[in-house]
This record gives sequence, structure tokens and C-alpha cells, in this order.
Amino acid sequence: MASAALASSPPDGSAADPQKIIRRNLPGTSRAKWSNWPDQSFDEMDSTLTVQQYIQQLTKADPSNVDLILNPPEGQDINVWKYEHLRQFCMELNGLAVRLQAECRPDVCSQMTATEQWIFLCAAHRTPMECSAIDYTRHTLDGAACLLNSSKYFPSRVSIKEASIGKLASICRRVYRVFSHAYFHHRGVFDAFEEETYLCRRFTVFVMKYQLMTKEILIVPVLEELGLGNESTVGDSTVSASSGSPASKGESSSASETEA
Amino acid sequence: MEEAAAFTALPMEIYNKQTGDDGNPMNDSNNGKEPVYTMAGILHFLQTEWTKFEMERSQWDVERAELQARIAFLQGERKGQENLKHDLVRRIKMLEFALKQERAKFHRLKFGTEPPGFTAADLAKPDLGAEDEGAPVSEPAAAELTEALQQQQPAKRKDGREVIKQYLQEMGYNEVITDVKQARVEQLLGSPSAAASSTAAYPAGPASGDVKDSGGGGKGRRTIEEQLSSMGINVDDEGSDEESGSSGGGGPTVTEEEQVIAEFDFLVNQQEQSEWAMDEKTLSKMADFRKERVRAPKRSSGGGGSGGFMDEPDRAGSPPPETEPTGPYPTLDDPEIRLAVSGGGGGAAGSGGGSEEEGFRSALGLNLGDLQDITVANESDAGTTAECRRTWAIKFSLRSHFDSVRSLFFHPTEPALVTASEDCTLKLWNVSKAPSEQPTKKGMSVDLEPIHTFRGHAGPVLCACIADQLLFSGGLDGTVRVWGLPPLSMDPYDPFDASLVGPVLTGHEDAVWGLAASRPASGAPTTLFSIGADRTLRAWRPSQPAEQRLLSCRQLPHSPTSLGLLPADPGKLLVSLQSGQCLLMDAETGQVIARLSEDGAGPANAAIAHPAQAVCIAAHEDRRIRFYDMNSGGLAHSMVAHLDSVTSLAIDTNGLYMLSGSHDSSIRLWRLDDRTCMQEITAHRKKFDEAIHALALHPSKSFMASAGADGLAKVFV
Repeated sequence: MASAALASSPPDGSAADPQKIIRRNLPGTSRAKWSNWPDQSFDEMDSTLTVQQYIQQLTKADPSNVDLILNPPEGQDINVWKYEHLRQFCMELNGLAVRLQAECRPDVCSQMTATEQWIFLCAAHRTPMECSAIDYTRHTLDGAACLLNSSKYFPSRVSIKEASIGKLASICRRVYRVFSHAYFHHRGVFDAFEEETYLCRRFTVFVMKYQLMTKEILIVPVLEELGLGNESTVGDSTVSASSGSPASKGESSSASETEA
Repeated sequence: MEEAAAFTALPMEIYNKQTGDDGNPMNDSNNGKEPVYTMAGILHFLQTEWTKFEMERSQWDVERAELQARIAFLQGERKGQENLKHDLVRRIKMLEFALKQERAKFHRLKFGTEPPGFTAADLAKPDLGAEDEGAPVSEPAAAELTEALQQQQPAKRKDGREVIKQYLQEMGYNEVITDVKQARVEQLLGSPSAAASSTAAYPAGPASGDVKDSGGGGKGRRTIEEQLSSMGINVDDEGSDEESGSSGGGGPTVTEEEQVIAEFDFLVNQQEQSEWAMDEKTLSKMADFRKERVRAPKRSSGGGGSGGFMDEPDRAGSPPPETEPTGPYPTLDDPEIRLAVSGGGGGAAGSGGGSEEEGFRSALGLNLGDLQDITVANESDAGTTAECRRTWAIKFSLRSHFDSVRSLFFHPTEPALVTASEDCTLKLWNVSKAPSEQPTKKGMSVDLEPIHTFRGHAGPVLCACIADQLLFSGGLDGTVRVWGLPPLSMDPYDPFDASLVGPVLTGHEDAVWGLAASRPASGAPTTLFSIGADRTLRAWRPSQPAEQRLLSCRQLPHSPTSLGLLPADPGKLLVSLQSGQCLLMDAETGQVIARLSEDGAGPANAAIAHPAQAVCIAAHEDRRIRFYDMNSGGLAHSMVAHLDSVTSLAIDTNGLYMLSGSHDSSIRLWRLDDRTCMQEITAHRKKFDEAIHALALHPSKSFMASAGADGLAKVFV
């Protein structure tokens, strides 16, 4: 481990400190050595992107250790912590979107659905549209990327504007639908992805922990697998709540879309 | 003083008068008219006189000031005109010299021998003493050669003229010569009558110019020619055998003259603009012009400006020698012109072209490099500043990636940029879009939304490349993916277009770190080259069916870091290695043509080739930039360029400027001829120990982009 990191440091080392470990993926680095450097404690990190570095370091070490990953270091601004986690989730969701792209065809999944009861309208457009599932996924991720990087709402990654905190919840709600669509319609893709990344589990615990979403709309039953799901009827209750004519379904979902 | 004396004398007079009156009271009573002198009356008289004289005195002062100003104005004008004349004469000489060069070149090309006038001594730029001691060619031989020259003259001259015409057209001065300007120059060059009227009748200038068609212009032109020939530098330089051309004032000469004069437009304009402070203004302008010329990068890879050239700014910047202008002719105190005259005299005496040429050469201290510099300076005046760019300023911040941007690539023709990031995506940006809803504040960069996001890689995307309306990308997952480029008008929220997802080139067993695409010949399909951490260089033909796509796979001695095609020779590849070496390889056979390395060099992060010269520039992890000669394989130069490892390089298409990016968060702009840093931009924040991953320059538009570990890409203009 240490030797790998040292190998990636320049031979003459840093002029000031030849012993210093250079955490750098040099061009030409092989997959095995990618980001393969010794862990650094949060306090030692001195760049402006420490939170992202710390989260990525933990995630890379063990993506299944959800509690550790979501446990903020002492003295950390909780809003920045939430924001950086959400960035990380959206980034990793790109991986799920890539896998969905191969399977989720617009002619098969012409609507963004989850179970038989939910139809989601795409809020990326001026008037919410009934985009196909894959387009919904793409648009939602693109929209989230733009919003999370917007210099208007999130000009700094060191402190978050009070007014922008509400945006985090709406982004969470929207990107969660990618999980739910994958779970209910492309179960194979979802399971394979979840096996590798534990992303949905992390995300679910995250939104629960910081109350970014209500339990009622967390329809993917990953909590049960974690032993946290105390009621197995979560999905059923939402279904009954929103069941009705197709028109009312559309309305209810579009209402939830546009409120953001 | 005079005034003061008169003033003091006056009260005395009054006093005398007064005493006289006092002495003859009887006369006073006789007259009857005689005023009665009272003390008050006298004082009043004295006071009025005093004020009268005071007023007169102040009037004289005003007048004197006016006259002094007038003198200053006239002196300033004179100086300005001297400067102008000086410059005009020099320019004429430079043009002449270029003509000679071209003739010599033509001769060389046509007959394969050095033209008789051009000897080794001439090319070596002999000093004055050597020239005086004797011509390098013996007299009879020279005469013979001159004869031969004369026979070739007509054709040669025509060619020479064409070349000069082309030069002038390149400078941006073609047929837009107005009569006014010409008339001005005539005035300035000093046809006596015009010169006399010129100072008085400045505003009337255009009017007199308008009537020029009635013959005045032609006469003026002839005057110039006469003057030039009397200066020994007539336009057709072979004094003796060009008699007919110059004395006749024939057609072709006149047209050339027009163009030459057109070139002097800017000087005339200066003359127009500056009335009072002309002297200073003209001087400073000329000085600026010179400075710019000095700063202006050299086109030619050749010797460039030498001693004579370097002298010029000084001469232009300081006032000309204080000599009495004796007339329209240049003052003989000026060493340059005197030499020119003597050289011309030699030519007329029939001692052959050789000595004349030398005379010019030594007198001018110029060479072809100067002329090219002038061309560049004029072009920059005309507004094509792409290669004369000094510094960059940020225009857009491309904020949409969640993680480090690893690579970026400009569309070869469109104002579009693609970025590849560790967040597994590539994004396409239209950098010409002006976000209207966000007015650009000073010092603030504007956000831009990507027009398309390419998702496909299952891991960080490490490199990207655009060719032939296709986008290629390589990632840590070991795949090379091919994408179609959507139109730039695309909305990011349009439905998914499956046709944009092209084939996937699988084969690399490890991360793909570099891509380069070439089109071997017109119409032939694109060949894509890729390098990977599995130490292979692979060539692909993406348009072929899956099993035939891989053309070749060659082993490399070390893990490669970057890949590029030589701009000057697309049949060659430049690969940099983690071992610090750079390899020059044949793209077709994979043979290593040259190994460029220095002992003890740190890993090479990137290598680029100079677009015109056989120079390879490599960015190293040990903070150095190294320059290699690709012909000899030797190290030409090595310099510590940044505070941390240098990660990326970009060179402009003319090979004048270079940009380097480093993990010390800064971008530096380098001038290549003397390798000085002209600008440093602090652009990106660090993530771990990485800051800037890539730089790119648009091949045809004025854009520069940088990719940072902080997930941002920035576009500079």
C-alpha cells in the first residue's frame, strides 16, 4: 500500500519534504494503483475539498460501511456534509444510469414508473413532461448536476446558503425515483449495482438520517434488508394512498414534481 | 528691459514739463488755454499713463507668448516631418532590400547558383571597412556578371515586383489608396511648393487632394521619384541600367509607388491627428509601433532580427539628430542615408551590383526577418491577433462535473469543448453561447450548462478526442468508446438519441490514458490510436465491424502517459512514458524513430510536438519542462517551470506560445522563442495533491480551456 503511493510520488520528492506522500493518480496509473494511497485522517487534509476527499476515501475503503461513511467528522458543518454526500450520490448514480441505458429502452419503459401505482413527470422541462424512463433518469441527473453546481444556489463548497438547503431535499426526492424504477422494473440491474456499491442503502439511510424524505415515499424496501424497516407495509401504504384513477395518479405525481 | 526703460523715462519727462511750467507762470497766463496743474490732476495723469503702459506691456507679453507657441508648433512640426521622412526613407530601403533578396532567391532557384551580387561575404554581412577595401568580385568578372544580369533583368524585375506586391497585399494594403493620402505624402516628402503651403493649409489638404486627377498627382509622383533617384536609392535599384524605368516614370513603377505610399498611411494619419503636440505624439506612437514590432513574434524560424534591427527602437524613440533641414533631401548627417547614397553612387559608377548590394546591406543593417516582423505588426493592427495574443482572461466556468475533470478537447472547427471527468461522464459544451440572463460582471466568470452528457464508462473517464464528427473517450475501465457528436443547438433535455452511442472498442486490459485520431488520406476512414496502462499502443479502425476494428497492438517499454500525433507529420506518434522518456514512433509500423530522454528525469506527464520545428516539449513530474530536438534526439533545454509537477502542455498552432498547467494550481503562458513566462493564472483548487489535469487550445478560435481536480473546467479567451 505504502510502496504503491511512494511509487507514484516524483523521484526527487517534494522539495520541502521528501518523505511526504503524494496522493496523486499520475497519468499512466494502472487500475490497481488508482487512488491507492494510505488513508488520511480528516484533520490532516488541508485542501478546500476535504469533505469530498474524506467521503470518497471512506467509500472507496468499504462502501458497505454505511454508518461510518455517513458519520460526519467532529465540528463539520452539517449542511456541507449533506451537500457533499448528495454530490457523491448523484455521481455514483451515473453508474446506475449507465447500466440502465443498456436495458431500459424508451419503447419498453415509455414512462417513468415505479410499481404499477406511480408515474413520475419529468420536471426538467418548462412544463412537466411524461418522459420515458431513461430520459427521466438522464434529465434528472443532468438537472441535479446543474443545480448542485449552480453558482447561484451553491456558490461555495465550504459553506451552504441557508436558502439553498431546501433544494437538497427536492433533489433527493427526484433522484430516488431512479432507484425505485430500477428496483421495480430492472431488478437484475439494480441488484448487481447494489451488490457493488450499496448505493441505495447508503442513500436511504442518508435521507432518513437527515430527514430529507419521508418514510412513505421510500418505496424501495432496502431498509428491511438492513433490519431497520420496522413496517413491511411501507410500500403498500403508499400504494393505497395514491391509488385511484390514472388521471389522479398523474396529478398527484406532477404536483409532487412541481412543488420543487 | 526696453519697456522698463521707456517706462522710467516717462515720469521724468512729465516732471520736466511740470518744472518748466512752474518756471514760466507768465506764459501760462498768456496762453489762457494752459491747464492749471493741480496735484490731483498730475496724479491722475500719471495714473492713467501708468495703466496705459501696463496694458500695453501685458499685450506684448501675450503676443510674445503667442509667438513662442507658434515657434514651438513649427519646430514640433518640423521634427515630426523629419521623423516621418526618416521612416519613409528607411521603409523604401527595406522594400528595396526585400526586392533584392527575392531576386537573388529567384536567381538561385532558376540557375542553381548564387547570383553574382550575392557572395558569401555579402551574406556574412560585412562591416564597412571590409567593403571599402575592395569588392569581393574582381572588376572584369563583375562587369561580365552585370551584363548577364541585365539580360535576365526584365523577367526578374517582373517577378520581384509581383513578390513585393504580394507582400504589400499581405500587409493588408491593397487598392484602398485615396488620393488625399497620396497628396499628403507628396507634401511631406517635400515638393517645395506643397511644403510651403502645407503648414498653413492643413485643413485644405483634402480639397487640394481631390483635384489631383487634373495632373497634380502625377507630377507629385514624379517629384518623389526624382527625389528618390537623386538620393541614390531609386526604386529600381540598378542605377545605371534602370535609367529608362526611373526617368520615364513608367507605368509599373507608379503602381508600385502607390502601394508603397499606401503602406505609409498610418504615418500620414498620425500627422493628421496630431496638431499641436505632434512632436511628442508622433514620437511616442512611433516608439510604440517599434516596441510592438520588437515584441511581435517572429514568423520565421530563421535568424530573425539581428543587431541592426535591435538598434531601431532606440533610433525611433529618440528625436532625430538636430540638423538643419536643407531641403527635401535627407540630411547627410544621418549615417544611414549617407551610406545609402555612397552605395548608390557605386552602383551608378558601374562597378557592378555587388558593391551596391553590400552598400545597402551594411547601410540598412536589415535582413528578411525584419520585413516579416513588419508584416506581423501590420496584421496585428488589422485585427487578426490570434497569434499575437498576450494574455488570457477567464470567460466561463464549466461547473457540472462532480469530480475531477481529467481531460478536455476542443472541436476542431466549432466553438465546442468536451470534458472528461472522473465522475464517469463526458460533457459537451457550446462555448460560443452567451448566457444572456447572466450579464458578465467584471472579474466574474459565467456559468454555462453542458449541452449533452455522455454516459457509458463504468469508471473515471481519462481521455477524450474529437475527429471526424466523432468523439472518442478512454476510461479507467479499459474501454475506448465512440460517440456521435450532437448538433450544438441541442437541448440537454431532449429525448435520448441512441444513435449517439457508437461502438465500444474493447481490448485494453487496463486504464486507457491517451487517444489520438488521424485521417491517413482524404476519404479514408479515421484511424484511432490509444495507449493504456497495460503498456500497449493500439491502433483502431472504429468504422469497421467489431472483429476487424483492432488494427495493431504494440508493446511499450513503460506505462505510457500521453499520446499525440505530430502536427507537422501525422505519420508519426509522440508517446510520453512514466519512465521519463518520450518516444517518437512511426504510426504505421510502430517502429521507434527516436528516444528522447534525459538521465534522472521524472515521469513525463505529457509531451507535445512543435507544429513547425522538430522540437518535442515534455512536461515532467519533477517540475521541469524539457525541450528535445527530435532530429538529433538530444536535450535542447530544460527548465524548472512550476512549483509542483507539470501535468499538461498546449501549444498554439503557430508555435509561438505555449501553456503549461501544474498541480501547483497555476497555468503559465510561455513565449517560446526565449522561453519567458508571460502570464500566470491561478485557476483551480487542489483535491488531494492534484490541481490541474489538462489544458487545451482551440485550433482555430481564440479559446483556451483548463481542467481541474476540483471538478471545474474553465474557458479563457
